[in-house]
Amino acid sequence: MSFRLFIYYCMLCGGGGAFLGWMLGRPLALNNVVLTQGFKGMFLGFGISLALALVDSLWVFSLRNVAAIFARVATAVVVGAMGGLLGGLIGQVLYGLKDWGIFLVFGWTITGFLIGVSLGVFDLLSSLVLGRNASMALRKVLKGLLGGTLGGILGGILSLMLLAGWTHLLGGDPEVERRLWSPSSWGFVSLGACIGLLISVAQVVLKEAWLKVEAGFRKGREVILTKPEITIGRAESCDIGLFGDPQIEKLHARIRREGNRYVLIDEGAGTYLNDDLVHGSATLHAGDAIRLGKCVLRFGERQKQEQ
Amino acid sequence: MTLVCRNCSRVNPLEAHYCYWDGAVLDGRARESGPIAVGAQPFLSPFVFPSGRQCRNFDELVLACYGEWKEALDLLRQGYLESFFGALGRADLALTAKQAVHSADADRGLDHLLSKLPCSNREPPKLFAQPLEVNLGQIARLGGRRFELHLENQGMGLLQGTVACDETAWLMLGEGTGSPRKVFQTLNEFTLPVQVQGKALRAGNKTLEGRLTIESNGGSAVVIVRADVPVQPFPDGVLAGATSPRQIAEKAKANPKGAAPLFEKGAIAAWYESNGWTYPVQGPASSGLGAIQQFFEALGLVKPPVVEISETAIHLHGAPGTPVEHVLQVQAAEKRPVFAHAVTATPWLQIGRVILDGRTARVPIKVPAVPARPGERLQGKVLVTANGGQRFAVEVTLTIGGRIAARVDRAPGVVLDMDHVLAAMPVLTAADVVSEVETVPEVVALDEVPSPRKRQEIMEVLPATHRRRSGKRDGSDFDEEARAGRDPEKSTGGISKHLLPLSVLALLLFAMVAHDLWMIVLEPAARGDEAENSLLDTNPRIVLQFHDKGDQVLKAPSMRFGLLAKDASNPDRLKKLTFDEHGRSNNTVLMVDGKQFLFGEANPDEPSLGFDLGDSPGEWVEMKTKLQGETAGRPRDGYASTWWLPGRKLRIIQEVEIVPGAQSRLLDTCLVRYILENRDTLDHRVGIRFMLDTFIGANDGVPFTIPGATDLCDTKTNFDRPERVPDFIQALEKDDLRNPGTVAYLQFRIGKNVESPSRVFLGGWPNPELRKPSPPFRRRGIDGARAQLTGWVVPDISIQERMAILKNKKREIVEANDSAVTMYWGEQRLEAGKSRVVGFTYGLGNVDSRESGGHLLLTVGGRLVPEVEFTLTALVHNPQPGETLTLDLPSKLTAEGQQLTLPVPPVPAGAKRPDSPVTWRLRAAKDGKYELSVRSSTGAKQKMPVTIRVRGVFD
Repeated sequence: MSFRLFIYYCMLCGGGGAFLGWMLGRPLALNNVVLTQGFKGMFLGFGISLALALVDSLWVFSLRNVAAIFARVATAVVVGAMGGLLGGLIGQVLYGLKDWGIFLVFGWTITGFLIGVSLGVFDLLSSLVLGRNASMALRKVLKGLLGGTLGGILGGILSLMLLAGWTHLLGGDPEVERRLWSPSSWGFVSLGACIGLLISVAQVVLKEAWLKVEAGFRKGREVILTKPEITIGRAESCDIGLFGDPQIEKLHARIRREGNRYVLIDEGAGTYLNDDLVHGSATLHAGDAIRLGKCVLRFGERQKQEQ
Repeated sequence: MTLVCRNCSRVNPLEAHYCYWDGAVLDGRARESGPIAVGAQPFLSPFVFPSGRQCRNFDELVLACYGEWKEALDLLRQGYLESFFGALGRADLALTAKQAVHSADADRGLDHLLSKLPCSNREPPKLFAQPLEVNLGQIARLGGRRFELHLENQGMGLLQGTVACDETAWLMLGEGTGSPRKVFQTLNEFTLPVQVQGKALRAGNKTLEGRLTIESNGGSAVVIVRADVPVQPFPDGVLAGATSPRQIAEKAKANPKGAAPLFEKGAIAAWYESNGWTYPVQGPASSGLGAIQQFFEALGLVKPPVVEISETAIHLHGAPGTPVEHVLQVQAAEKRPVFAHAVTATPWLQIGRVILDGRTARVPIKVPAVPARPGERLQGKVLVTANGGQRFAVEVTLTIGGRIAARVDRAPGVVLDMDHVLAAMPVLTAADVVSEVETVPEVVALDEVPSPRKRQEIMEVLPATHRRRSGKRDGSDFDEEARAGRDPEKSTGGISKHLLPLSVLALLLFAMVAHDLWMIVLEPAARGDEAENSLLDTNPRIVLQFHDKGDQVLKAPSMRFGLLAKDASNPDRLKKLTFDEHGRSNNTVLMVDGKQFLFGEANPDEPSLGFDLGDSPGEWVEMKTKLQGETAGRPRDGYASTWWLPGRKLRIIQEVEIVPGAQSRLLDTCLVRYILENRDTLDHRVGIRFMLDTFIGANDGVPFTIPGATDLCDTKTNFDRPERVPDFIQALEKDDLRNPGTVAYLQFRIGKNVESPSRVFLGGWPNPELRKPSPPFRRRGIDGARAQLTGWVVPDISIQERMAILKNKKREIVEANDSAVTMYWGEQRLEAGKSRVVGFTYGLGNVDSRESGGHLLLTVGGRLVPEVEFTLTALVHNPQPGETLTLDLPSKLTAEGQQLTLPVPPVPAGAKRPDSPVTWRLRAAKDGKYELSVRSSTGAKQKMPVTIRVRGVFD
């Protein structure tokens, strides 16, 4: 999946997940309005984070890595649902004090904030637990946080506008307005789409290094390097799986971040950097072509500030 | 004496054990003290496996790890080995263990670690393959066969390597479609299935021999596989029984006329195919004897004529979109037939049917539509093969000029390569043309070219994007060529694939809009709500009378109102629903910032008042003004009166009107609303209280049916919190449920825009007589009982409160038997400029008991709109002991957490009426008409229709 497709699918799945959340929360009618809105927010957070976590995981992992995908998605869903619950509760409590729409936007911003965080939580926690370098995982969390927050604000405003617009167009009678589906569903979907869009845009725009598969398994795929070390090979446990090519070893090569640079390390299986055989390791530069068997990966790197 | 090294012949001192120069053990010293065996040196403390196995040194540890591999992997992953080596002071081994944990392949990681341990007993892996020879015997062509190759590691460590059968096309490794090369890795042994590919077998008189090559870090091995595939003799005609091409040639030579049709029809080619051989003749068969000559030439039995091609380079010109044609000629100088066929990989070129004409063969070359690239010069290549395999490569140059012409319609059945469609105008590719076998058989797909050499030649001239491979004989499951040059994101199918989920989401969102539009526009129309809301009878069933003139009781007009019901049998006869026909015994009190005001009472010196009205009790702004607008398609039948409290700048509007009943659609209900408007610049705390002196027929103290209560109320009941206030109460004029007479129906929850009472007190009317002490108990008088001038607090008295009266000049104690309903809308902060609307309805109830013969009387009450709870009450007359009622609910109606079958409570001893109420709280999911049915365990049954509306009648 290319970056453009990633952004497109994040936006689309954010909207779809929000729609799922809307459907789950729609039948809720508790006596307490705050609780009702809280649970509706929870379903919203659940839906959006489920969809975004699936896109994020499937972008990197093969479907064969069910366990890794499940762990990531489950963590994201828990954090996202919590975010939705908090956002819904806080927004409604404030709105109950003074019926200003800005309070609802504030609640949705909290939801977007935590949904953004949810996508990087698994990497961050696993790095901390295993004692690995957590700086890149932390960066992913921060990017998600930024994107989610902006998405929450933008989506919240858009959602309010849609809510008001649809209610104005279709409503008029409070009893009928209560039974309308369009204002709330369109509002939820726009909120989810904005959160998904801005989280993915933040990930892509602020990326530091990435690989593009130019030939071989899932050609056209672009992967952001979000770990201190990524493995490449045909083993399922590899971060970049290149399946179906017998010339590629289970663990064929690694790319490691060393200080401010990325280094390609050959695992003795024959890796070529710009058609030169790599002996041990070699420093990567933007635009370098890495060839493993029949697969070709193009390394990309954001220009460093000192340059 | 000196010691001389046997290796290097250098001199060493006497006490030396090893040569100083090359380290070799010196003669006679090895036995005394050889090198230290590090692997046998004991650990400070043994390493113990979870199984209890103890390792006292590296040698034992290596053996244990290989013996208990799985456990060793777990110990490595969990860091035990790393910490153990660290504790030994072997930081190098600890580091290796750490790296092994992060290795992508855990087995390799552990093996690598073990290879680094300083042990003396670790042997390298050693490959043992079995069997090394396999004889499959006789196999019919196309018949499958399989066997297993057993690989064993006779050494220690991880045996890794590959098994390959690249050079043997008829063998395949693994299950399923198999692969010509497999990578393996094993600690002990490994079994690999080997399949014989029947389609790749070639029949012959010699035994076929294949090779499986095994390369590993434990050595190499070659497995020989043999098989006999018998030749199928030619079955038909003069060539019958031939078992080799040579015999075919001999028989054909002997009887050329009989053999020629077989060649011409392709029977020989089919026979070759059935034996797995490559038919030597390329292209279409010639006709007649020429076909035999073609075969002989291809076999090399006859020297082919030397042929020449007319051109080796062609220059074509054309405008975009236009067709261009050219004909190549292959000729022979000798007078012998010439055969030719051609292929091309150039996408914009097409080869036509070759015309064989004696010494000349004509090869038509066609550009069906010149690509839309004006000004460019395109290069292509055509490969022509003629007699005896003589080949000519013809360069084709296409110069494109002119303007873009109209798009040329393609022949039906021709499939275009979408990559090129996107890139330029439609052109045909080699692979595409193959699909049109009938008309252009000369162009072949790559895997249909049987000769590897020729295939290679075609590969050279064919761009990678246009190679088509259907099989997997290239030795890889990964069909690189098929994927090359096709970017799924850019192809048309790819884009539509990505747009599909967006379309689904958009569809869902528009479905939401459709739902709403249906609900707003179409659904009410479909329901025909016009008819639904129309009145059954436009004649009012009740009459309103206002106290709009002063009299003895109230000197000034108070705009209090009384309600009377028309008798169904005699409309001229009126029955009172309030004690006083003009409502003078009712009253309305306002509580503003803790001070009481009597609505409509302007006289601050009224002696009967129990409270001080102050200097500014209020004044009328307007009295009995006709209400404007329409209700149920007719002018509103009611009046508004506005009272002004100048001290508080508070405006109180009393609206009283006759409206249709929620279920009956008759003008039988009185809607009472008070609108409290704060016109001050300050906030005020405002409350209102309404006391209704109920009266039915001739009875001033009838018991009330209260939903949810287990008996009728004939004393007093206080609903002191908003949630305890019932939807409605009702009272029956007569004891007979078959003919209950007038049914008074007082509804507290009427609409979402009208505030319901926060407290309701059902009890006795505050008769001033109650203020006097009443013997024999000498009870203290009830001071607050001041009849129509009673203040905010209505005394807590029973309907049957006892009081002393003078009768025949004698003082008697009697029961007051006078009921009243007092409704409070408690004090609330009313912001400046804001208003508050409170209200209730009072009128005739809509009940039915005929079907049950007067045993069950059903009433519904509350807001009858979707998703809002309402009440169904069944009044049971003379309930039997143990009697139960069962409610049959239509779908889309639910009883909120309640049983549908409920017991009927017994009538309390001393009750005025033998009736007992049973109540259900119901909720409708959707608007519509429903029929409620209640069955008694005694057999009685009563139905009642209920209409749930999108919008409440009083909203």
